[in-house]
Amino acid sequence: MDERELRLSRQVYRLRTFGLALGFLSVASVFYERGASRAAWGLLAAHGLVWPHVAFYRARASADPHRAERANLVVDSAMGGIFVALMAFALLPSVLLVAMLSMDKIGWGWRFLARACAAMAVTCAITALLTGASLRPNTSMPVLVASIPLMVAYPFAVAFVSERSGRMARERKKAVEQTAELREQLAHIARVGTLGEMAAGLAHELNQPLTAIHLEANTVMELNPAGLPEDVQESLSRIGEQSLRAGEIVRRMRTFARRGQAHREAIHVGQLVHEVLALLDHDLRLGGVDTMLLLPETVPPALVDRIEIQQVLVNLIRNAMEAMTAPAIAERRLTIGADAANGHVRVSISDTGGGVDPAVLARLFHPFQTTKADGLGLGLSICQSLVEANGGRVGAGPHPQGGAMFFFEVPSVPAQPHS
Amino acid sequence: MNPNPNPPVFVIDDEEPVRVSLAKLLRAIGFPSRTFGSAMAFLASDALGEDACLLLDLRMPGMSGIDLIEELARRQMDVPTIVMTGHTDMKSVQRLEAFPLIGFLEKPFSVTQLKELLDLWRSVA
Repeated sequence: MDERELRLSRQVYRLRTFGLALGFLSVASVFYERGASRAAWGLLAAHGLVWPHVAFYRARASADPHRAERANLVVDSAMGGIFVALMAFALLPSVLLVAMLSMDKIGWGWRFLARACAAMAVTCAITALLTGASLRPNTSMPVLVASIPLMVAYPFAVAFVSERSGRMARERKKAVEQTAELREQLAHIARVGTLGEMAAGLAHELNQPLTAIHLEANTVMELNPAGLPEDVQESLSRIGEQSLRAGEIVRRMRTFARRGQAHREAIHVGQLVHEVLALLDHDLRLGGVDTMLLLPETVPPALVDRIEIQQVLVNLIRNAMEAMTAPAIAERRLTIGADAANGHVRVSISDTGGGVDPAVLARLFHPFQTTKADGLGLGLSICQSLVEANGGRVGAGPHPQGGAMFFFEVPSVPAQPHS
Repeated sequence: MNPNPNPPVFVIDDEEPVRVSLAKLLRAIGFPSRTFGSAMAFLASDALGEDACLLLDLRMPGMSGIDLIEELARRQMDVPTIVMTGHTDMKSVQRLEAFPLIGFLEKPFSVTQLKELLDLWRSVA
C-alpha cells in the first residue's frame, strides 16, 4: 500500500470512529428510552464500537485499499438504514444519521453517494418490514440532548477532512498541470531545435551545389573572356549572381531559425533527471526497462537552461529505450549517472541494447544521420547544439557491459559563493 | 629548396562537385591546383610539405578541416590556409581564432572574394 492510500485509510478510519461513536450515543438514547431487543443492542454495540476497527484492518489488508474503503462506506450506510428502522424513525436521530452517512460520501462522487443511499433505503425498508416497526417519529428531550454532539461535531469533522482532501486533490491537479506545461515546453524546444537543425543541415547541403554552380558559371566566363556572345555572357553572370542570392536566402533562414536567448540557472542535474523520468515513466514501464540511478548528492549544481537540458535528457533516454526494444534483449537496463570533474558536471546515459556501430560513430552527431527506419536523424544533432549552447559537449562510446553510453558535460556552478 | 614561381593551391573538400568546379576555376584564373577528398588523403600524399596554399573545407567526415589545421600546427608546418565552410558555427570560429589564416570563405562565396584572398596569399608569398 502506498503512502497516499495509507493516509486516506487513516483519515476515513478516524472519521468513522468519531462519527459512529457519536451516532452510537444518539441511537442508544432512543433504544434506552423506547426499550430495544438484545439483538438490536448487540448490533448497535458491534457496529458503533467494533466495526470501525474491523473496517480499517480490512482496508489495510486489501490489495486495493481504495476499493475496500468504498465497500466499507456502503456497509456504513446499509447499517445506518437498519438503525433508522430499529429506532422506529425517531425524527432527529434518523435525520442526523442519514445526513452523517451522506456527508462523508460527497467527496467520493455523486453516483457513489446515490448507491450508498439506495443501500441505506433498502436495508431500512427490509428491517421495517421484518420488525413491523410502528412509526414513532417524535423525539423526546433526552434524545435531543444525546444527539447534539452528532449534530454539532460531525459536520465540523467532515468539513475538516473534506477540506484537506480537497487541498490534496488541488495539489495533485497542479502537479499534473505542471507536468503538462513541461511537456509542452519540451515539445516547443524540440520543434524549434528541429527547425534550427534542419535549417543548419539544409544550409550545409544546399551551399555545396550553389558553390559549384557559381564557380562553373564563372569558369566559363574566365575561360572565354572575349569569345562569348554578349547575351551568353549576361546569362552566365546572372547564374553566378543568383546562386549567391540563393545562398543568402539559405543563410537568412538559418538565422531566423536560431534559438532564442537561453535562461541559465543553477540546477542539480539529478533533479532534472527525476523530472524527465516522471514524464517518461509510462513509456519506460511499457518497454520493460529497469532504471538505475547513480546520482550522488555531492555532485555540484550545473549552470544550465533547465528546459534545454531536459530536452537533451529526453532525447538521450528515448534513444536508449529505443535501442532496447529488440525482443532478443533479455536485460533492459537504463543507467543514468552523474559525477563532477574539473568544473563540469558529467551526465552519462547507458543502455543494454545493441550498441553503436563504429562506422556510424564518427558521424553520429551530424544532422540527417539516422539508423531508424522513420527517423529524421536530428535528435543527437539537436542534443549537441543544445549542450554546446550551454557551454558543454556531448560524446558517445561503447558501454563496458555492452550497449551504448552517451554522455554530456555542462559547466558546474563555481564552488566559492559569489556576491 | 627551390622556391616555386607559381606554387599550387591544394583543394581539400569532401564534396566532389565543389572540388571539381574549384579546380576548373583555379586553372581558368591561372592557379595550378590539386584536389583531395579528405584531410587524411592530403596528409598521406606527397603534397604534404610542398610550398602551396590550402583551400580547406571545415566540415568533413572523419578528420575535419580544423583537425587538419591543428595537426599541421602540431607538426610545426606553416601552411598558408584559406578556410571554406558550408555554414559557420561559433564554436568552429572560436577554435580557428588561434591560427593565422589568410581568410575565411562562407559557401557559396563569389569568385571575386576567392580571387582577393588568393592575390593576398601571392603578395605575401
